[in-house]
Amino acid sequence: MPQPARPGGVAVNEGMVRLLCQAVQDDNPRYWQGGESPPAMLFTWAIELPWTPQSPVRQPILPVKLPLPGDQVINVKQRADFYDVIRIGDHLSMVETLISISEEKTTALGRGHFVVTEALISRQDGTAVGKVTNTLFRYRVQDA
Amino acid sequence: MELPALEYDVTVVNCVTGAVVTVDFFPGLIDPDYARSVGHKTVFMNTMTLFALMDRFVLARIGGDCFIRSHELTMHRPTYAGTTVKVNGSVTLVADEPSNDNTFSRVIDVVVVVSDAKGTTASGTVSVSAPAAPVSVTTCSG
Repeated sequence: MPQPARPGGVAVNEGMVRLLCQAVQDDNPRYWQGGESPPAMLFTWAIELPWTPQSPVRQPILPVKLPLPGDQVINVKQRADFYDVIRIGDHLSMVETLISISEEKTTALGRGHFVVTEALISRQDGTAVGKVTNTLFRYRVQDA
Repeated sequence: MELPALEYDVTVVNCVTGAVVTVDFFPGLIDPDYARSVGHKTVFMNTMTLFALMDRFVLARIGGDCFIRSHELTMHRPTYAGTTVKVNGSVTLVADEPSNDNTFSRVIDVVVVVSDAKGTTASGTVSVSAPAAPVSVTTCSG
């Protein structure tokens, strides 16, 4: 079932774009002069900050909120589909949907569940800009 | 068609910067002591920073003005700080597809593999579209 839409914590902005581009040494002028965000930051702009004056308690993303025993998470697989360019000044929000939860599995990291979620991400005018499908492993370290 | 490889130094600073600036505050990505306490060697690159590296690799070789239609990534194991990774890629699809405005765009898929001295850490596919004009694959340092 889709969750309520959640607005991202920050608008798309030049400072964060430049910091990520310098970390991966990406000199594409679209990001340095053209006002675009790297597509890799799609989810960045749609996630809430851990703390704001209006929301001092962190609101976890859907896979972390699920009532599962694992207290650790690690991303296993992610796919993002892009429908439009993300530009500086855009305000994005997302609607998360739980797709599946696996049976309990044992991996080298520990015992836990693979959780698949989908996030449809839109800008302030309602236009969908992309969709992120994520598989993460929620596990317990002490069982490794 | 193989694309020219890219080498990238995975530093603690780059891992931490990438995690924080993509609003990913999982402590294993930014705190080496915590990462070790939960079984990791040290901090490692988060998903979004790995995507940014893959996308940089592909657009610098296929064409910086291409539109990224999709990208997907599978983590085989963490890409740890303190390593140098090699990014390799090969073009697996070049096809012209009709666009909504009655023109064609050229779709190019690139399979990308990120590996350190011990083998593959992450792999995936970046799919881009470009104007139908011929796209030339160039060698570059980006």
